[in-house]
Order: sequence, then structure tokens, then C-alpha cells
Amino acid sequence: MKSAGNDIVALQCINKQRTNNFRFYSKILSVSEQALYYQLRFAEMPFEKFVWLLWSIKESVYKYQKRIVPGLVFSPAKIIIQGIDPPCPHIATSFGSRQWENNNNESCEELYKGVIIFGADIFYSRSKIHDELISTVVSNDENFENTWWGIKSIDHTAHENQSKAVREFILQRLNSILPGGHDDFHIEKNPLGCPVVIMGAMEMNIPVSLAHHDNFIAYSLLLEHPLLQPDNKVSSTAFCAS
Amino acid sequence: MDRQEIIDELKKVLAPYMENKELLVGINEQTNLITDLKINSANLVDIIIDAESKYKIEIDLDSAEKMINVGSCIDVIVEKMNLKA
Repeated sequence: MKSAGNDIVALQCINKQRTNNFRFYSKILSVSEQALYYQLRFAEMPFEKFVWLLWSIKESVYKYQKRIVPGLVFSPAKIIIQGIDPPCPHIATSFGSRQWENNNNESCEELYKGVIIFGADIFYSRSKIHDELISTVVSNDENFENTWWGIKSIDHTAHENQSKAVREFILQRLNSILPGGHDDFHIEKNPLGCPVVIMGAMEMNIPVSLAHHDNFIAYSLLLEHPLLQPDNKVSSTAFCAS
Repeated sequence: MDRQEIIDELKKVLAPYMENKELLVGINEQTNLITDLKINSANLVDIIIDAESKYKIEIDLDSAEKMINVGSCIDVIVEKMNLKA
């Protein structure tokens, strides 16, 4: 079964002092994961950013699996990050633009690439890190060929606005991928609490994941179908869930 | 400390991480921290650390993962308080 999982952390909201406290980070990171910070090329990255990078990876994996395993409980310690390959060199930059969306043809050299084990499954992560945010997406496909994701900053941070804005953001992307315009697309939560794309009254077979934290929102979605054309345009009717 | 007293104290732990504190008025043991109280998951560890400090207990990883709703939070807190009694 295919799924989608993502997360976003607004770094202005984290408590740096607390994050650097052993009591805090030891509830998220195993000893071997803590060692990654010193083994890899993270020297220029503050430790608190490293902690939240790994948190965002673990939360993304949990969200991916929650769709597949009903009743799954988020347990960061059981999601094991085996390794992270940081871009070289690590350069902290401002998010700058109001919005970013991936392009399947673009280079991913700027991304942090992780490998994760959760139970019997292996996952791969890609993360974007800026001064203001950490955003992660996961997949069971190492190449992320059919994973689409985006990040956006918003002005109003009230929960209802975050929720509305991230839904509008992902539907805009879907409409840009699927031809014809679909005013009848909307996002609902399924009985497992996972977001699903609805067209009219029909659930689409397009796994999606939504995240928001303070003034940032993010989505990921999986569009996987042999009808995917080189220009990335597809027929929406091909994705109706059976 | 009975369960109602623990709920009253737990509200003080949860409140700093809630945008709409009025949601605390109607909480019961079934209230989910994320879906009902709209607490961001990034604050779950903060809540565990704050609960440890408030009740002077230590919450291990296996217990922490059970703290999904108010009732399970109380179960864990009671269990850990009894351990040190």
C-alpha cells in the first residue's frame, strides 16, 4: 500500500535551550542517532537543529505508516534513523520566498537525505533546511520519483487558518498536475484521521500528507501511475479509488 | 491525589501549548491532545518534560508513547507516582 508522509518545523517556535537538554533530546533520539551528529558533517549545524531534523523525519515516517497501520502510536524511539547524508557544504539560508515546490526534474543536492528503519520497513527521507524551517518528506522509493511536495509561509497562524491554507495549497498543486481544472476537489480526513482527496463524492487514490507549524504549511502527495506523461500531466479519472 | 485533581493540574501543563485555552473547559479522559486540543505534535515532548517536573516523576519512552489522550496521561502519571510512593 502506498502512502505519503511529511512534517514541518517552524524554528522560531522551538525552545533552543530545552532542545539542547539531555532530558529533552534523549526522548527523541537514541544513542546511535545522537552519535550521527558527531560522525557526519553536521559541524556547522547547531545541535538543536539536528534534533528537530530527526524529529521531522520520525514524524513523517509515522504519518506515512499511520495510513497503513490503523491505531499506530507515534513512538519516536522505535523509528530508527540509520543515516543522514547532508549536502556539502551545509549552508544555512533564508527560506526567502513565500513558497517552494519541488520539480521532479530538479537537482536534489541541497537536500538532506536519510535512511530510516521502522519495524520491517525501510524508508527514505528528504529534508529542506533553512534559517526559519525544517521540512521533511518520506517515501519507500529511494528516488522519490512520484512524490510532490511544497512549503509555504502564511500570515495568519491560527489553527483554522493553517488548516484551510494547507488544503488550498495542495489542491492548487493537484490542479496544476491534473489537467482540466477540478473545482470539486476537496480534502477530508478518513476514519483513521489521515487526509484524503475527494472528487465530488469519490475518494481519489492519491495519498497526501499535510503539515503546519506556526506560519509555515507543507504538503506531500504521491502521484504514481503508468499514465504519467513526460510533461507530468495525467488524467484525473485514472486515480479514482476502486 | 485523585484523578480529578490530576486533571486539574494537567490543564496547567497543557495550557501553554494551546492556542485556544477555552478547549480546556470541556476536557475529559477521552480528550485527545492533538485532535481535540489542537496541540502541535512538536510540543508533545515539552508536555512530557513539564509533567515530569510538575509531578516529580520520570516518564520512560514506553510510557510516553501511551500519552495520547487525557485519560492515558493520567494513567501514566498515577503509575509513576505510585512507583515513587
